[in-house]
Amino acid sequence: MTLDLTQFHAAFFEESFEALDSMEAALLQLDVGAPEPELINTIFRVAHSIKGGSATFGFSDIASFTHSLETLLDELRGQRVAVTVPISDLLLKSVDVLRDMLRAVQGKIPIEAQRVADLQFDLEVAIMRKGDGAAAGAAAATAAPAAAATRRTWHICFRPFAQFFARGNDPLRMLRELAALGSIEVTADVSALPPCTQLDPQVCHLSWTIDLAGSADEAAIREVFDWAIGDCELTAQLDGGAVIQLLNARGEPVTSGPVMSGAATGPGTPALTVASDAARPPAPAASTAATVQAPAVHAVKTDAPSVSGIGDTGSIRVSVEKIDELMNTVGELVITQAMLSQLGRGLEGPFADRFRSGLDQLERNMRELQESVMRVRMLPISFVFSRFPRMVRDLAQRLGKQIELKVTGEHTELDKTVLEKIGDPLVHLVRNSIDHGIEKSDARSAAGKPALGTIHLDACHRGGNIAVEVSDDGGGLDRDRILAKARAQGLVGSADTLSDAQINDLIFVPGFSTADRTTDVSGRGVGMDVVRRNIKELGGKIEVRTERGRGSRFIITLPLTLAIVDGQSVAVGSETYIVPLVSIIESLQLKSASVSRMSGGGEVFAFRGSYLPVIRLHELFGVEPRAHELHQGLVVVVEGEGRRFGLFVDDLLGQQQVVIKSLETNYGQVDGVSGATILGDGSVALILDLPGLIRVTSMRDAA
Amino acid sequence: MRKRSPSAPVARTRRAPAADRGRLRLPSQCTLATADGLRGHLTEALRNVKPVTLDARSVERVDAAGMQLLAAFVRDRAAHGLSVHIEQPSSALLEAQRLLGLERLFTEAVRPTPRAEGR
Repeated sequence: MTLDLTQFHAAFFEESFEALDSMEAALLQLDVGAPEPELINTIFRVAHSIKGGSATFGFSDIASFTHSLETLLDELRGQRVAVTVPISDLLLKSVDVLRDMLRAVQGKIPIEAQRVADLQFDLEVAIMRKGDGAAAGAAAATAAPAAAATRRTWHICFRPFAQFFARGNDPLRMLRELAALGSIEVTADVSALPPCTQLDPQVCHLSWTIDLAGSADEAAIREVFDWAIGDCELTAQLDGGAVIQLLNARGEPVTSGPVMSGAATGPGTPALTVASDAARPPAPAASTAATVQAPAVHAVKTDAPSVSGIGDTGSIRVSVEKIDELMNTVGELVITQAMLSQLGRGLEGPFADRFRSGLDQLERNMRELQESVMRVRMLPISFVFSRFPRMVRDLAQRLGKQIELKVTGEHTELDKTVLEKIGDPLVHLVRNSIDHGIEKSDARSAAGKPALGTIHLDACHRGGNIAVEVSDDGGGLDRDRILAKARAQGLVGSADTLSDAQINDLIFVPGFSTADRTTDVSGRGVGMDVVRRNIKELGGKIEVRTERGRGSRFIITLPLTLAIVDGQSVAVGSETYIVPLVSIIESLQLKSASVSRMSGGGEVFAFRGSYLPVIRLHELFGVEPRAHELHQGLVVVVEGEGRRFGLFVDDLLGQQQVVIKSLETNYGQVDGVSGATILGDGSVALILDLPGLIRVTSMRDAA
Repeated sequence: MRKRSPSAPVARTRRAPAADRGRLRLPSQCTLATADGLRGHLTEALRNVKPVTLDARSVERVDAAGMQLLAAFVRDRAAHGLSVHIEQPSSALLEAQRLLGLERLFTEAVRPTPRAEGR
């Protein structure tokens, strides 16, 4: 009757990686000298649950390593070891190693054993070096993995109170954790179990005696029942030894040594329980000067290898494919609904009105459904932001700069796909800010600025978009130097005069770099162009605002989702095209007098005091139009990549949300077209990519 | 063995759509959250004088509350000399039996058929 554990591996890895991320976040918040006990508890619990999980699954190397880590954390928790910079560095390194070890096991690849052994040795040394020498020997002996040789058997008596289940406790989980500590022999006492017909399933009628053989110490056993304080009676007895009461008849912790955990606060009150703890609202959003915090740290509470993937917090883990499938089906529904609406419009007869009002209802419901499904795909941007505190800390240390990272708006949600792809560009921007933006402390002081530089990460909703901003209070972009470099590299002619915006834009040109020498941090001149390309691929844009000596701001604007776009459908001949609504400024009918012909053959029209070029869609796509003269049709004024121009079309049809179907996956890439959609009548309409249109037109004109 | 005739006649089959109260498919979640509903089905099956089969192949998640309920059912049936078959117990169910020390109670009252592979 062997239990196949491999099916739980994926969940274990996923949860462990998440837990490590929160552990890292918590470590970065840890104040040297005056650490917050709750933070240390959080960190401790992560190590503990990874240890438990890896032992359950037989990843003995990880279990052994986390055991050392956990022991050190326990010493920190008991304030027998002080939190110092070397210790927090050591812990951060342990997070890295643990992550690599997990990856190695997950991917079945070897890991550098020496690195693990070295770090584990450092951990052991740190444990040994703790303050009071007397207790040190004994504790270290139980702590060292070598002590695993001393096997002993605990007889544990576990008597949950009636409300045990109702408080959110599951004895099965605790027994599973005990099983991770050694081999267990469990006997259930069912004598108090009432007949099935009278049984209240919410009330716990069972109690257990457990023989636990292994090297576990009292603290480890207490730890398992940490969450059940106040909800059960617990005694433990080492063979032949005295009975140790861990939780008394009222469920209160009976401490025989140092207080075990933050949960055991007021001995008189039935302290924290799982239920009350889970009900605690997450910490309010850290508005200023705090590093990424609340959501991550809170998530740590997911217990050990909570095998099912269903947490206590009422959330469930769903694979992305399932959501994508759902999204796709909703997309199809939207198309069907559009088709029905179109049919309904032409309908006549006694039921037509009722049919149409039903359709209206359907449309409203569809929109709601669509929004709900889209919300499922949304994740807070803290998933991306959370990697930065560590990165800033490490890089600043390496470059000898003093930098504080400010994170705001980390609860802003955006589509998972967008979220995944925005990480790298952001890393690049932050890295640039650290390397080029923020000056060294002495230079800052000389300039009359605070020695501590600040990098600010911010995210917020702006219209139908998300704006993500990376700003720093460093030196700002050096206009003259950029221009000089660009001239030297032949990117700008020596006689050209450029506006500030154009100069700032130069940093996004491929191959451009002002760094005098290349470091491993940045300065190779590949980067900003890639950043801009990545952001454009997401349908977003990036702009930079800078002030010499005061700092720079990189503002990234991203669409909420990539799956659906609000579009204006326009007719050209027999074809329909979709213009993204966000880029439309206005639509107008031109008078023949306002159109002028340029010497090169292009046409321009006067629009609010300036002249804009016209792109004739029918010429571009080879369609026979209904209107050949500009004043016969309509011109849609649009903006793409900061440039405005007019699209000449026959007619405006209507505004609708369209589901984007990728042309690239279904057909191939077409310049000037970002995708396609299926209209209500079943025909296909192309969605226009305005920056692409500009490129195509200028290439055609140049040819 | 005490053998008590069930107080309610077997003929009351209103709530068993499959017309086979001797067979009960356990839900994928046998937990505190679903225990109330499950208890209803179990108490109904409790009085069936014919052997009862619990189809446990789709049980994915169990907790102690769910196991407590199943244990009470199995014990009560055995006390009345009535048998229960647990068919294809899933690995989740077997793990819970073992960890909660209920293996004996279940094996003594029940003769499980071989469990499904790969669940």
